[in-house]
Amino acid sequence: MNRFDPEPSFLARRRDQARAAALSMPLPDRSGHRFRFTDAAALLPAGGIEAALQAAGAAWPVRVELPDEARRAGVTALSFGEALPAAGGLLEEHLGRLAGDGDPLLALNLASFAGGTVIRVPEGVRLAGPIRLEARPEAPAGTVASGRTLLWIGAGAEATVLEDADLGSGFASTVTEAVLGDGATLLHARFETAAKGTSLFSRSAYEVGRDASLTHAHVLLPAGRVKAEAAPVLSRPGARSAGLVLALAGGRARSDFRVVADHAAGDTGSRVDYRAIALGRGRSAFTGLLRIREGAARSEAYEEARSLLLSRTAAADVLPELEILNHDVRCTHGAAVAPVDEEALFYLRTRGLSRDQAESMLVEGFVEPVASRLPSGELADRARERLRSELAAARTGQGGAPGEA
Amino acid sequence: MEARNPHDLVGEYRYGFADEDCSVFQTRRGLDEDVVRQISAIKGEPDWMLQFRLDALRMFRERPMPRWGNREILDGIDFDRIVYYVRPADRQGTTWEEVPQGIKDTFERLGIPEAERKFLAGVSAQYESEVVYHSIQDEIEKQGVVFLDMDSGLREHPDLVRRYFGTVIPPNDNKFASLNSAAWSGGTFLYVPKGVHVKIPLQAYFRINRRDMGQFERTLILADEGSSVHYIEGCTAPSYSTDSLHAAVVELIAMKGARIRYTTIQNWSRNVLNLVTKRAVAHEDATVEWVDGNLGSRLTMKYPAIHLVGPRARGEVLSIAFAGAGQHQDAGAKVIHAAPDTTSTITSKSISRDGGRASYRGLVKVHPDAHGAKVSVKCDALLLDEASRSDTYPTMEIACEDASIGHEATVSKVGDDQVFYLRSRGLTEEEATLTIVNGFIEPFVKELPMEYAVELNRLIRLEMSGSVG
Repeated sequence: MNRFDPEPSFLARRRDQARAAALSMPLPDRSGHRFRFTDAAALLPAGGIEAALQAAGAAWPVRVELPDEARRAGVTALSFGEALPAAGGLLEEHLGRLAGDGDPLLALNLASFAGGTVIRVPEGVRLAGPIRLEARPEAPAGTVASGRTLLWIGAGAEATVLEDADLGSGFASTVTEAVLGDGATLLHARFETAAKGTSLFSRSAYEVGRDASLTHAHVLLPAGRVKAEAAPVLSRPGARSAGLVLALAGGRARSDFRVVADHAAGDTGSRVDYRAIALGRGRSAFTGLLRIREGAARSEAYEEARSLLLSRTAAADVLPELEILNHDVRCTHGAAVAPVDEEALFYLRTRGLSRDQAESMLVEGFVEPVASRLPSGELADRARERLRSELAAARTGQGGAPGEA
Repeated sequence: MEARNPHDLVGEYRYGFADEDCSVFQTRRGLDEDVVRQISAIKGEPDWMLQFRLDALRMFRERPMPRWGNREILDGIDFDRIVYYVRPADRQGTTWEEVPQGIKDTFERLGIPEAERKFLAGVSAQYESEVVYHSIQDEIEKQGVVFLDMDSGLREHPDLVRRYFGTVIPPNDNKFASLNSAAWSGGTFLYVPKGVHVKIPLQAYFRINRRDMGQFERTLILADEGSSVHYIEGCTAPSYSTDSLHAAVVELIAMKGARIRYTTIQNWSRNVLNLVTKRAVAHEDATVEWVDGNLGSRLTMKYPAIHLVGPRARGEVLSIAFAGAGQHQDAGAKVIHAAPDTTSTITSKSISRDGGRASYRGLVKVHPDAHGAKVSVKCDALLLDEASRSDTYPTMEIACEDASIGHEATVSKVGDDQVFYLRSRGLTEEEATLTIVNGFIEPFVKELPMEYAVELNRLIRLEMSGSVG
């Protein structure tokens, strides 16, 4: 089925393959840790994959903001419709290569995605300001709104890409693939929200080249359900990745974050810092795998996952995993789930703060080690503000108001 | 040490020998209703136990193979080739002198009698599928402690056994628990009455001594209110070329204020599949400790569990795993906090070398009402060469707002600087590595009774021989 006009033959072929893959594989189950805490079927409308493939996919409109400096430097940000004739070679080489179609959810996206953006930052171009992509999909009943982003960051280039996905209704799936050339630097930040009763699945797949540096930030603020996944592959020596994750699940929200840091080459480094807050009847989940391949000597990997529970009915699930196939490494992970420090709360209240104010202050303190590591001050402020407003909304029982604070 | 080739280790493996088979009776290969009925009839079991076995057999057949762990090896098990019951002697010995000479020789070679005479109260040695030797010190008997093999326990204390058997690990818990429930034989039944403190560790040695023969021990330990006991299980097995399956079920119940420590030093030969279900229930103010050493075997899948069901119950799991060439140690721990103010500590150490794979797989679950629960998990892995592998899969499901959970894991190699320092002090590289490994597992070793600590250090030295060169 054609989503773009014209749809070149390589894309038609890839869609056919993905469609066949989606139909031939069972949905991943709990025995694989990726779906330990989320039922894959909950990310699909009734009728499952088959029905979703049948339905005409919902549109995936994206608002693109490309700074003038970027435009002048030859950076392009095109919709898929525009990019297919103009940047066909780039797409043919990379589309679907990193994220793949290895399970029905990813295959469904590739088979049916209806919109998205292709960004190309030429070699050596260093951008100061961010490129923004905002998607606010609305999926009609029975469909999965599917979009994709392809980021190509040339050797030695430097860029910041901020992606917002704000799901208003139904089911949505968004896949970002980012290729970092040798010595490239990318800050990729995603803000993901899903209204009550909606489910958003996202995957960010990265290929990090020699001496390239990736920072991937994820801020999950669902009122419904968000299942977000990040998969950096450190493919050449000297590659580095740093994941920064903030999640808040209030009301009856479900937030599930998955990261797989794959050290495919030696002398690579990765780091993940995760902080989640669950309140109301919310539930936050984290599964994070550090994988060191056989030849990846002298690699270092670090992962820290902290969860905070603010109510009796909230819950946090954590599964930090290590798979180490080389001995010459240093890998560490830590995880903690803890309540708000009652002593700190008491101290703040003696200073005249209400319980809510004191708790909010402690929550902000809890996320600060991650927020302050976000390389852009604007990004950090936005994350803090969104968290603050979502927390307030969750407290008053609104279950998280979508939109900007 | 001169052995540099890992294959030489098998030759050097001093517990790897086999006696001439002197079994009196065995069932035919494979497991079906007839075989189950036959096992039950030979033992003269009550009807309810036969029914229990038959139900379990149905569950075993219906349940698919686990889809996690080492699927390659699990899927390769041929259940029809296994002999499920072997009876080695016509009656049980009550003193060492009455034990048949052939079997006695086996124990002599394992060094059991010395250990027993010096340190131990009762020895319950499992030779093939049935306990052949069993002695209890008068003192313990006088205290009212029941220390029997499981078959005698069922005969002599039918009410106690019927009340608790299969309550901690129901027959449908997992495929291998179902298999054990259908085919179990031997194992230990231990009852410690209210307020009784058993001062000396009670221990049972068991070993497998027949090619392709499965061992399905069934152990039930019940510590009544305010009592305490330390039970030690040690295993050695001869080396054989085809796989032997070991699927034990161990159930522990610690009543209010009771304390159970269960220590295992496992050293199966390199062909054994060790797929064991171990679980404890700790009631109010009770303490359960699993001390678990996993050496040997081709594949071990074992996750000692503690269900903390009463307020202030305490659980501790302390384990080490050593994975050498061709071995996969998939071990871990599970702790379920189902009551307020419960605490648990999990400490896991693993060492991989010569292409061995050590996995930690754990679960910590805190129920919504387990207020003030505290959990601390620490997993450390040491990789000795580039061919080896370490995995860590700790799951935490926390549904209580004022629980505190901490988890840490590290994977590293033996530090070059550490080796350099020790070599500068005159140690060879091999000695230096062994010293570092011994230091790494020290927190585990110091929890063992002295003779076990000695034996473990000997085994580690044996495993490590030729590791550097």
